[in-house]
Amino acid sequence: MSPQKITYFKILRQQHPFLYKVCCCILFVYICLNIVRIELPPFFLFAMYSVPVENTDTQSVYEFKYNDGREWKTHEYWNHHKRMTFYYTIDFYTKSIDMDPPQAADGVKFKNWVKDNKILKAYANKVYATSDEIYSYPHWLKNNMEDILGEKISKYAVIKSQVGYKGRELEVISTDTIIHYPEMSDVRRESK
Amino acid sequence: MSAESQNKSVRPVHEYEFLIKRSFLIGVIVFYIYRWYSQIMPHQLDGFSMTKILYYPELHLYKFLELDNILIEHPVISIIYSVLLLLIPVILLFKPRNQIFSWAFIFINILYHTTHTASLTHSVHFWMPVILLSWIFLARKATTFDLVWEGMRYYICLIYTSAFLWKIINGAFFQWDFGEAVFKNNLTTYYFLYPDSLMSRIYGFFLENPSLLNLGSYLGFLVEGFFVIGFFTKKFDLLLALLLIILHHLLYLFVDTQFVEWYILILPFMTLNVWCQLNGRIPQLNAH
Repeated sequence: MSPQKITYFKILRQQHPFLYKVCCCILFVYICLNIVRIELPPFFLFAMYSVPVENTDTQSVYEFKYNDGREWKTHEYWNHHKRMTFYYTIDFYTKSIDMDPPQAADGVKFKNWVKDNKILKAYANKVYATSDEIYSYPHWLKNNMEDILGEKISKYAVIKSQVGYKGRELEVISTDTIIHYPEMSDVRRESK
Repeated sequence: MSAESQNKSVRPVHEYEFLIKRSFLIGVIVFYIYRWYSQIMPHQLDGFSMTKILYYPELHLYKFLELDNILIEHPVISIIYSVLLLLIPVILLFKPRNQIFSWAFIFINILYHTTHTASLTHSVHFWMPVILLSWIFLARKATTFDLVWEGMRYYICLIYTSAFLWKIINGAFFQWDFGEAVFKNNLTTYYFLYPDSLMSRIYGFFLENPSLLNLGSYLGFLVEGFFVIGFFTKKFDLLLALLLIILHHLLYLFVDTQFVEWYILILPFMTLNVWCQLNGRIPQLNAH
């Protein structure tokens, strides 16, 4: 083992005993959190893209079409952060709204685990997204997209397509309108 | 221990403390402006409708205290919150040793990370480098600053080394077609929406030769693993900084995840010579 890191800790201990203890504590907490796989900023878990991913030729694609059928495309190099909100939230919304009854997809396990414990149940209802919050997503998305586009949106549709790879070509297998604002969001709410 | 051997292990960067802090702050301010442009500052989140908190303790606390109702949904407070995010680093630019603003800077960056993660309904690490390096503002003495700055360098090496180890522990390292699988998962939307673009033609070539994607993912793993060398020597520090930028740039092109904020992590790998040259060119940044 080199010397480099060991020397650093030696110097730390000699020059700054307090900082040495702080660093030891940080390392200890970092290792413990890694072992139990919990992320607690400023202690992060750098395990992204570490789990095997199924290599499938069928993929989902979301499209946002608004007003007179114009399509929102913003994949310019510098627009990653502008588009990520839509792509992450629509995926979470789709998973949550498809549940029966619609509920936050991330809270299902916890809610099943707490079962009839009143305190934990109340806690779960408080912290996880409620069905009303999920239902309000289409309206929120309209407001958010108006800000991003800088123009008024009277109607829009979010279309989810299943596409399949044939070599380097893509072909559409099926399409489903996830949101048809303002009409369909209300219909889905009633049907659930 | 002699001063000479000590200098070999810990870079005496305290002479450039203000230059380092201001370089970092300029980066943070640029990131905030970019986020303002990208419509993801607190007041631009339109009081987001739903959150995803999974098991993250800080998000549980955030929701339990109903901070989103105050910080995001309130039209005036959300604007004040956004302005403070930009204003605090600007004040620190002029007073890099101000303790109150240093603590405020650390706190508000952790808070913003929580706010953004909650609104995004996805766990992301984009803001991690800003949170990490913001702790340097607590160092007051010259020797403390040297040690903290050096510690940041080791922590960054630990980040990338652990990212490599997690890929072995969780199994991605042993999935031969990992590169192709991730590419299809993340780039299909672009490929579908822009079939005639130059990048789609390039992507088409890689789809016809998926082995290149898989090879590329292994090279990425190895680059992460290469950071372990930072624990043993500083000879490759500038190379590590270059690899960091190349790695994240390629991740953006082939995984569609832009870790632009992570570029700031190259700062602790800068040698004394680099800081000395920068100080010679822009001495104002190091002015007390």
